[in-house]
Amino acid sequence: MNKPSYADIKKKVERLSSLPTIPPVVTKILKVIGSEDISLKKIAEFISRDQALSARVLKIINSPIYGFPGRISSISQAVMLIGLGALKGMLLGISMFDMMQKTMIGLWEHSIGTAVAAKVIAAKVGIKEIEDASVAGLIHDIGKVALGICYPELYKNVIAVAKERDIYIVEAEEDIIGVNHAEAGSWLARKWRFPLSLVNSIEYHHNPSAKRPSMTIAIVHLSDTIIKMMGFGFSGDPFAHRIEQTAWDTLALTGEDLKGIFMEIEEAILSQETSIF
Amino acid sequence: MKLIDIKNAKPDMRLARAVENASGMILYGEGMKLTIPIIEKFNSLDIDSVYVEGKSEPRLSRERYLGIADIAFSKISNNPLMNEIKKDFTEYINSLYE
Ligand SMILES: [Fe+2]
Ligand SMILES: [Fe+2]
Repeated sequence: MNKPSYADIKKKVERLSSLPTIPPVVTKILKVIGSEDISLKKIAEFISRDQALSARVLKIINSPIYGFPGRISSISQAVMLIGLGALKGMLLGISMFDMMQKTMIGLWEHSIGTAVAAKVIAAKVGIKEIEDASVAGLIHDIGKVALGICYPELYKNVIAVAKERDIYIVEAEEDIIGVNHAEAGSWLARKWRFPLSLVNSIEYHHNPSAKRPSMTIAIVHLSDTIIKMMGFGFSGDPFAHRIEQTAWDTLALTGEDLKGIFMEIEEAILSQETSIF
Repeated sequence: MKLIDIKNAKPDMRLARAVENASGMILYGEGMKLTIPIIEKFNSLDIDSVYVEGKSEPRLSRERYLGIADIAFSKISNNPLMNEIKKDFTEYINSLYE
């Protein structure tokens, strides 16, 4: 199979929502996420009109990914709590659920797990924007879904080659398609006007030093590797990425912090295994 | 303390954290012993998990955890920071089985 050109890949990924293989409900969500004059109120109305979507939003907002105290029972309340950027990201994550499972078995668990880890780490390092970190964890690998949807045959080959040669999925993507999922994901996030911190954490989650790593990028970078070493979900290969020193220094965690983080992630995973994963 | 799915709640378990409604009002206090009617009440309120006292069972066996970690770290075994993280992880896993 021939490699598509860089420009073609970019064009195709950016037009992903109009591909015939995308379910209509997802197209509708993507349209809302990407529309220029979107507001919290409009999103809340849109979610409330769809019962299944409302149920999923409430389930995820009450899960350990967010860990709000008490029970959130209405969409308007949920929407107020997390803010526009994080809400758009969450809707994207929810809408991609089925396609994630189709692209790669275990990718949804990997994404949820990374979101939980990001929340736990964000709380530990004490940043204010905890929801932004969780949502960045949830959709950090969205580029895999994008490449899988745009190039189903090639992507199947990517997964097979990563396994055969025991290499990172990123290497197989670059080898076979020519673009990796971090870059492809960032095109989507930019196209849909996600907040810059979210775009950056998608784009640099494997190489945070390419940018001076913000807290959120560093958190997603570490979460991704922690969830892999804890053996939760599957993201295309079983190998942890080297945590970059600059990202590690940004977080300034001690060994004891890390052990506490492992414990909290594990507890969150155990408690929710039956309901959201 | 462990967070459990409401499906796994049983009478005589003790709440390790208060259960609140959406506006933060405490419905059941910390230390409250669960009964069938209370568990049914949780279900009717759509509460799907609670913190109870006790320690959770590990998700995997110790050998499985450590085996997964060995593979995860196999490509980066010459990196001091990663070795430090692996050491912390191994100590954490071992502590689950003490
Ligand atoms: Fe990734
Ligand atoms: Fe990942």
